[in-house]
Amino acid sequence: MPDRPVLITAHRIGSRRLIAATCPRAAALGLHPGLSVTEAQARHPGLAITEADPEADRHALLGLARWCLGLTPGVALTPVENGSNDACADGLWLDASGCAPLYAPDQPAAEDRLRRTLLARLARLGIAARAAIADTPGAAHALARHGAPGQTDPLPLPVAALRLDATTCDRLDRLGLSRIGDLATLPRAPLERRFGRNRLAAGRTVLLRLDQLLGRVREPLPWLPPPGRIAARLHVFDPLVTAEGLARAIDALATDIATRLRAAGEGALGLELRLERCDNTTQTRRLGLAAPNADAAHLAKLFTTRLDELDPGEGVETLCLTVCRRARRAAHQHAVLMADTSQEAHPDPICDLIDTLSHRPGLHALWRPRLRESDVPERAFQRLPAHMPIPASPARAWPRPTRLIDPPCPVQAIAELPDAAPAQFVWQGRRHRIRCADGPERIAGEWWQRDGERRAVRDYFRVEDTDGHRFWLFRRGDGQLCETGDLRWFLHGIF
Amino acid sequence: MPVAVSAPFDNAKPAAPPSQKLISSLETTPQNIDFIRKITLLSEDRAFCARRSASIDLLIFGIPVIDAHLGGGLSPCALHEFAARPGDSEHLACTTRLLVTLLAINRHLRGPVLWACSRADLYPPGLAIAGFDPARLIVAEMADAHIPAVMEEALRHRGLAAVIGETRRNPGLTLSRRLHLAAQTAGRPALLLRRFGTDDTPSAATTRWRIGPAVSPPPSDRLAALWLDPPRLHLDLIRCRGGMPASWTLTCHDDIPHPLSVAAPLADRPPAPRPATQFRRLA
Repeated sequence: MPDRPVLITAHRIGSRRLIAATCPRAAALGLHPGLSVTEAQARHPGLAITEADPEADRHALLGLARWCLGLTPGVALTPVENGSNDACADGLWLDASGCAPLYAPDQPAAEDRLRRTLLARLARLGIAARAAIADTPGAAHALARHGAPGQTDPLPLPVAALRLDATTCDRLDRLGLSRIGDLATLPRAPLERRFGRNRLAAGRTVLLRLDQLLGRVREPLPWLPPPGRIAARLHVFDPLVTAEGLARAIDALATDIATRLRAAGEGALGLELRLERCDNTTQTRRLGLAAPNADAAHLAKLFTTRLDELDPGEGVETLCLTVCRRARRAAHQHAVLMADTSQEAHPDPICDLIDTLSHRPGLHALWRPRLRESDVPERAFQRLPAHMPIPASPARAWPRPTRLIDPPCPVQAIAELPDAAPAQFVWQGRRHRIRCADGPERIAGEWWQRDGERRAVRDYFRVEDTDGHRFWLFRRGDGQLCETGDLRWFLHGIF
Repeated sequence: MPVAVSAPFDNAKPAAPPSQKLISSLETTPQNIDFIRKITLLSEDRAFCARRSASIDLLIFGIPVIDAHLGGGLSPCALHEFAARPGDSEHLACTTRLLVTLLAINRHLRGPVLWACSRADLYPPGLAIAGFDPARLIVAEMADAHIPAVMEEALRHRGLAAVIGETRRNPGLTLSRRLHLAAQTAGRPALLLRRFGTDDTPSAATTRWRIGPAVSPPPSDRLAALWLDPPRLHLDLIRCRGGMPASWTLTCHDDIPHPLSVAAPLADRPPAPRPATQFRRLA
């Protein structure tokens, strides 16, 4: 298209106005980013110059990244590390682990096929892109920018592919190290002395970049959250090892999450905290909440109370708090504004309590009873999760003990007649002589529940011993038909 | 230098209490200051309790004799300790019955009740018989050592009617003091149930009770032995801050408005055991 003008974008660095990006034709004319605009204009008068808009670029790239989420589950923006502006990104990382077979099943070059599919789709959108698939993010980054199409080995690439700044590249060039392969074969100690982590700034960490490229060091990537998902992420420069540090980081994450939840009018029902440690391991803690909650202090407390169960190891460098499940929050005014502070208006305190208790160490179970329509004592109530609303229970007429011994404890009882109340029984080595008794209350088995209960019968007696203790005893069987039970006695409850 | 302390005693009489006179003659040595601070804290504590009690309904038994003995009822913002009587089983059945009856009578205690325990033998249908709605119950099962901490945590949350904890041992002076303070701040009762009543280590509970079954009236004839009278409880108030120990025998009825009554002390006693000598003489 010869009629289109040669386009460059310009930005201002200090007092100088430099080229930020060039169109392919401008690049063919020898213009490159970093050249001053005045010089470019002197060389080629009639250039079309527009101001660079990094914010819009980033926005467009984010849009592209979200589009890429349709191809692979993990997409991250690549920051420009050798450029002047750290905030702008010029590429994308796609985590294609396990995705390739979806695009080319049973083919040996599945990954290449995926790459070409991606490029073809991008070309259809009018985007000229370069892509490379490699084992590490560093290698993929290097191959996509500096490699030939289809190249898979990053070692012959120039050292600039290591995401190093121009000064370091120059320095390496002067040492005769122009290829990544040259660097990789060198002994590490002298290299570290010259370009070590501590001697020079973080951007110049040659060894770190080399290790990341070769996969010796894992590189945490800032993965984009799926759209609509509420998640907060915190990278820390100094790995966290202390409980206080972790608690502060969790507080910060919870505040972020809670603000966004409140803005959406929602509350979290399930949370996941992921800790990425320096030693390439990840710990995950998940928890659920009784009711949708968007209180930052409460959310943070649920994690910080069990902080001692986390193992920071050599240090935690990334924390990620994600809302797995959420729901709309019931709108309620703050207690300060309410004239009457009745229980009905505030269902939240109990839910807060249930959350707090259910994440306490040492808790075995947290439940609320719901009475059921069943005469078999074991089935007369059901344990429900504590956050579920329980209807008011119907009144009962038959006497029932306050404590149930479950399963029923077999006792040695002596009764005058097979179908009469016992005269005495022995429980836990103690003999209880029975003064008076009431019964039997005959409870038949629920044949619709289990086949074994078809003929089963229990005869319950309330008995009082000579000390005044009241027990709930039953005899298995009605005393007449042997298939109803074997006439053994059991203690089932204490009044 | 002499110090004068005007302690805000809740039962302040026109004349200065004797302890004030004592303090005013003390020197400001570190020990004395510590003593004065303790006295002041204690009196503030009592004044706070008094203010609370004046504004909050007391926990009543519904029996004039007992309520009058307790000065109107149990304080609803305090720790109360209930234990089984020595020789009783560790299932605390009688204590449970009395507690849920109290919770049912005191309708001003609204909302759920947290029951922290280490063994799950609580039987909600039996609690319903005593007039307590099982839908109000939240049961937290946990190891015995965690129970005082969980009770304290629960007392900090609004919306609970009462917090009940069943422990095997006495939590000790420090923990019970913490529980008492938490209950005081929260304005709702903390009720501690102890499985074994034999252990008499000190506790900061405002009242300490021992509860056990009492023998019901003897059957008058053979037919009467075939049915049961309403159950009876024996209550020992063994410690009461600002009150005297006492004992009562109660009868539990199934009717909700007045489920408790004092059993007549003289009627329906078990017959006195006959001296063995009579038998010898007969022989």
